Amino acid sequence: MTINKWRPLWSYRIDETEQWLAEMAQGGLQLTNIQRFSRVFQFEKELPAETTYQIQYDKSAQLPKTLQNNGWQEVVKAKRWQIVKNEQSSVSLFPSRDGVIKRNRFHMYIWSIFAFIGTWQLLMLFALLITSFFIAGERQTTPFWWMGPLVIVLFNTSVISLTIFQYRQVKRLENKYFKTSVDQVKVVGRTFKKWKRTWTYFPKMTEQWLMNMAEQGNRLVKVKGFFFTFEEGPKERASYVCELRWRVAPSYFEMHKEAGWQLKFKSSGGFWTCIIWARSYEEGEKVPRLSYDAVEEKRQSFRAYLMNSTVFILLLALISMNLWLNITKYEIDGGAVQKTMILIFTLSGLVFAWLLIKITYTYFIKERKLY
Amino acid sequence: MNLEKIIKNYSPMTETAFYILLSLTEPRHGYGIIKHVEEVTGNRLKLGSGTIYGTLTKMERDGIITMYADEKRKKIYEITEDGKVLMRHEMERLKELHVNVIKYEEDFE
Repeated sequence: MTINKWRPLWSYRIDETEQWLAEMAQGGLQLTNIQRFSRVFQFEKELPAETTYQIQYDKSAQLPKTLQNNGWQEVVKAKRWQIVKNEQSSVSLFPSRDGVIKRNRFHMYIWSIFAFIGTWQLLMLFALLITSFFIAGERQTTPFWWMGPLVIVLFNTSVISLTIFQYRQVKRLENKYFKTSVDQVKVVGRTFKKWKRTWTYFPKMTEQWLMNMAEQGNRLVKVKGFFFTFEEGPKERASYVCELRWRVAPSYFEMHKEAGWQLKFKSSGGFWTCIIWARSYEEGEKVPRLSYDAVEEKRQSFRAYLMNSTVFILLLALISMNLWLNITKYEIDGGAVQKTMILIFTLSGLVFAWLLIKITYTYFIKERKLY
Repeated sequence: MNLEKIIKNYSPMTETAFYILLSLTEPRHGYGIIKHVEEVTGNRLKLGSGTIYGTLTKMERDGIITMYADEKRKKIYEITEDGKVLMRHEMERLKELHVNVIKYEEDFE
């Protein structure tokens, strides 16, 4: 007889679901199938058994031979999902978590966009209610006027709560299974701060600057936004690598840490991640790099430049559109508000255009020569 | 990715890709691959962890290798059946290359 169990949001709480499946097996219910769309898990009554479950998500989702030889077997395969189990008493090898975290992180980013829109809507609603109640002194006359705002509040708070839930789950999984945190440095000497606003735009120039600082005895301790904290001490040879990466996988950090690199900085949130790595080396030794392929490094820095300049181009497009709308309105009405808006948009447009030119000039004239 | 497409995309292989796959005669950690490549090439080929990461990620996506984790959650890479076929195909190509090197090397002296 098939027993159905409904488990909403199971894919966002992977290890809890695996634990739940193991408890079901202990109670004599073995998983036989899942209904992806209805979030229903199907079980058959069997003899109680100690079972370890693991859930995988991947395009190919295949079980490595070594894992098969270590007792892992497929129970369910549903599109990119694969649920595997192991009935041995001690399990020492496990399927990878990369696919699941990558997928959940992507979902988190998409939901973050909805949560951002939701927050904006709530703020607008709040401002509207304040205006109508206290400033304008108006009162709603329709009996169910609160229904609309209530639906908006409930809907948006649900979206925001789900996003926060996903964020916490992804962070928890990453901390549990991957070493993605910034390496802490013990500070004994005097520290000082330096401000470098454009460091993410010019990775190679930043690397050179950090290496020169290390040669002068200033060791990088931590980075917060545009502020770099250094510690005064003995001169040292250290290689620094700055990267801007698109949808970085947790195993990226593990791989470099294993190879002896120290993670100095990692920006949080967003599809793009700014990263700074450091590694000391001895005199006469080749300067260590993450990649010795200059072409690949150059390609990567160009991608970073493209990403950074696109932000400015989009802002300029937005400003131009608003400017055009205000000019058209000013030609018709000739109001003072339009006049001020035109001035504000023109000035901000000029500032962004200047920044775009400056970034492009520095990138092509100074940064690219360093590769 | 099907086998035909894999061979078309990967062969002829880059030296980095070849040595990474050659290291996977047994499952290894990422750093284990770096060390093994240094060993078999007599320290001639030093692979950066960034190079290894990029190549392994691409190979994993294309189904040439697969990965799992040990008790300490450290990643271990293993070659798949498709990966083995690809390596045999590449080795045949290199054998032909080697035969021709032996046959004609004197003519270049």
